[in-house]
Amino acid sequence: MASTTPTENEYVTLESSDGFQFIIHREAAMLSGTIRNMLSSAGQFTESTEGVIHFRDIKAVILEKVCKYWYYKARYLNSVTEIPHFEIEPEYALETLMVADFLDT
Amino acid sequence: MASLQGRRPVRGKIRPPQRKAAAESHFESTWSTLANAITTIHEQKAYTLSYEEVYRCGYNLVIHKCGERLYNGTKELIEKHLMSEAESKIVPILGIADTSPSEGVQVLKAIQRLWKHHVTCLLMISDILVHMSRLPRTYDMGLYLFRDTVIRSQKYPIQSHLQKVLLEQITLERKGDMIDRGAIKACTDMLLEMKENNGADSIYVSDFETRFVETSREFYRIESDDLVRRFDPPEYMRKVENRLDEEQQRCSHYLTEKTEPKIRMIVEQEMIAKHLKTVMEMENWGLKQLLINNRLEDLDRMYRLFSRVPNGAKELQSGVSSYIKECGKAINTNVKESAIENTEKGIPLGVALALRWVQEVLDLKDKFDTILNSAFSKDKSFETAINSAFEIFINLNFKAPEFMSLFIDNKLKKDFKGKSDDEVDLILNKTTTLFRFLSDKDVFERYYKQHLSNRLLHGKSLSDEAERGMISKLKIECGFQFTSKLEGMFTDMRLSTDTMGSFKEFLGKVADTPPFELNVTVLTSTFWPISSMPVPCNLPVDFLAATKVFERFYTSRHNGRKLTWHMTMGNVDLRATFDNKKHELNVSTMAAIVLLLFNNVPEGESLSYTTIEQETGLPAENLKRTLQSVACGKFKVLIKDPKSREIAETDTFKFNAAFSERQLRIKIQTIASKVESAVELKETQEKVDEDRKHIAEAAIVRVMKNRKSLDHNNLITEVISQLQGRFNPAPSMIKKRIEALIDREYLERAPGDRTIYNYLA
Repeated sequence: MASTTPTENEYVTLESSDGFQFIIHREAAMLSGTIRNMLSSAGQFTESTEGVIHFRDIKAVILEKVCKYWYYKARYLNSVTEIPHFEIEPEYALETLMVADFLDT
Repeated sequence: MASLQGRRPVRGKIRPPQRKAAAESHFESTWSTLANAITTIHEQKAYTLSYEEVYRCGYNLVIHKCGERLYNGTKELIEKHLMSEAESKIVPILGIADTSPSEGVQVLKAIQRLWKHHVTCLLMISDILVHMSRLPRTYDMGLYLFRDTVIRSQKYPIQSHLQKVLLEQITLERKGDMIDRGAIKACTDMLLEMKENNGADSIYVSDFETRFVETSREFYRIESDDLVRRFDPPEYMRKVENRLDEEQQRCSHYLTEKTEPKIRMIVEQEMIAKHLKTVMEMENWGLKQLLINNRLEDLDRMYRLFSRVPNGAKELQSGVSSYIKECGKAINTNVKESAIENTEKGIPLGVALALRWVQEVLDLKDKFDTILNSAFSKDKSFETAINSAFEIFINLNFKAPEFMSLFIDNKLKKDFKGKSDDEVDLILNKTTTLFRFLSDKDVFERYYKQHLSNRLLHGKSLSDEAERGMISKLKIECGFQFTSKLEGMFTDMRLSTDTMGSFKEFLGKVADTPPFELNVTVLTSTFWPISSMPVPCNLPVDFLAATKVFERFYTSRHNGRKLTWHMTMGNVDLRATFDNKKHELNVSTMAAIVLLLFNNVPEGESLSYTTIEQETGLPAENLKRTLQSVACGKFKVLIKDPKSREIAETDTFKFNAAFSERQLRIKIQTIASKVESAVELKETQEKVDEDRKHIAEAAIVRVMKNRKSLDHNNLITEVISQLQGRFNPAPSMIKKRIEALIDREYLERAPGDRTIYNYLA
């Protein structure tokens, strides 16, 4: 998911601290409590007007992991079939965990 | 991230996260960013902020255990902001409220604007400081701040002004002005939103509602005093109803549903409860006038309003019932007065009087039925009140049972001619409802029996069906026992018809057939209200022979039965030859006996009263009545000398040969059933009392047989409850019966306790 297409309303752009951009479905990103607040808060913050969120504390590797998780969750939410495991490499586990808390996911 | 999977073998090392320096300087810089952000939000320039940045600051502060300081800092900032806003935007216009009440709404609007702005900012701030939620919620904290720094500000009288303006606005509306409901609604919503320190009750109650309730009470106290003086009750009640509607709407439009019951109670208390009596007893258009004029709509309103307050319904009921009693008394005295008047004039108490009484009572009942149905929504307690009022005044007229029976008698004899079954049924039903009010049902039964027997024996009843209908209604009211004798009378009539059929066959076979047609009605003596002693009289030979034939026939069919002839009850068809014309006369048997005497008298001769008395053997009372009917009535078959209305023992009688009438067949009636004279009434009363003794004794024995042993008071209660369906027994009467039963050794007093009776089998 490299940065190619311009952002539409359907999508949001997430930018990691090391400059990578992830353009993902707004719906998927809204699975994060933090992002949901950010985009839907009563006061129009810069993020919600521009559709770009710059995470100064999150590295691309982790952000990618998180994006994957959102899609994974969106896919299996309310699913009745058996749900496969979501793989997280142990070396990223702790950082992913902390980011997850930050993003309220 | 919830589904971390940890069972896999560990590849590589978990590195500890980079530890951020939690130094004081770090807090300072982060906090200043945040503080700036909050100020920016207050300035409504949030669009310049990066949520991520602010959020990260808040987040970092919280996870670095600076949450407490962050919280306090935020609180301070918001408080300061509110202070300055209140000072600059609200305080300057507070004065407006003092000068002009109608402009007071400006104050509301200013407070409202500040409140709205504050809430928006709060929402944004709490969005940013999500993590502070581990502490008291940011949003709630903001509301408390608003409450304490703006509404209940120590420095400025904002609270009192707010209350004053709100109350003034509402008073203005009550007086008919248009007000800005939206502004008030917004303010009450705001007050509702803010909670007391316990977090449950909103400050609406303490800061507004209590005062509101107080001023409303005052308002309605003055208003109701004023209205009651200025308007008549129907108008007053309309106004009250409007007020209740208004208050209800006010609550649903811009106060809260919770206030509604409170304010409703005040209006009810002040406007209804306190003026119950005044409204009901008002000279013009009080309850009485409404009832008299059948103002159903107003009565309905009165009912609905009065039912709202405790005691209201009761007061109204007693008002209605005292009016009914008043009407009833008027009907009673009316009848009594005309009764006295008539007796003075020498006219016997007419049936008309009884009819008028019953009709008036029925009309009154009809009227109140309509009122009950359409104004009191068939309220059960009102029905009871109305019924008991009827019961009281009906039983005040001790002639009520007789009057009712006469009324039915008249209906069944005359009025039902040409009426449909439904109409008949309707009238009978109404009469039955009146009957239900009677306490002396046994007295009624006695009269009814009397009247029924007259109808049956003289064939005066118009419709057998209506008769049976009435009986079945009485049966429903009072049970089988009450009507069994009445039904027996019907059975006798039917059996007699059968008997006469066979008697005619019998006559064909015997030699000594009487020279005239004989119709006999055989009655069971216990069913009929006929004294067992027949009126003595000397029958002409022909009559006597005929009775013998029938007796022979009857005893041959029913062995062991004893026939007693009641000559006085029958009637005879006579063919009489006058000078110009022949007439068929239908007269009572007694009259026939008298008239037949004249067959043996030479033309022009007369018979003296004493001769007639001797020949017929009739008692003076009956003879006089009979003579009256043939000599003084409409058809004068006999000529009396001297001419007068009354029969004296010195009178003489002569056959009126010149008698002539247009129609061939003439029915000469003996004096018809009348309202009883005083003597008769006394007799009836004695008979009734005698009957009651037996009934009461039977009831006592029934109870005692069941219980074997019972104390005095319980026995009295039980007996009264058994007898109530028929009449209201006096305890003293029951006591006498108990003593009589003890004398006859049905009961005994228990040896140890004198108050207990034992049953002796």
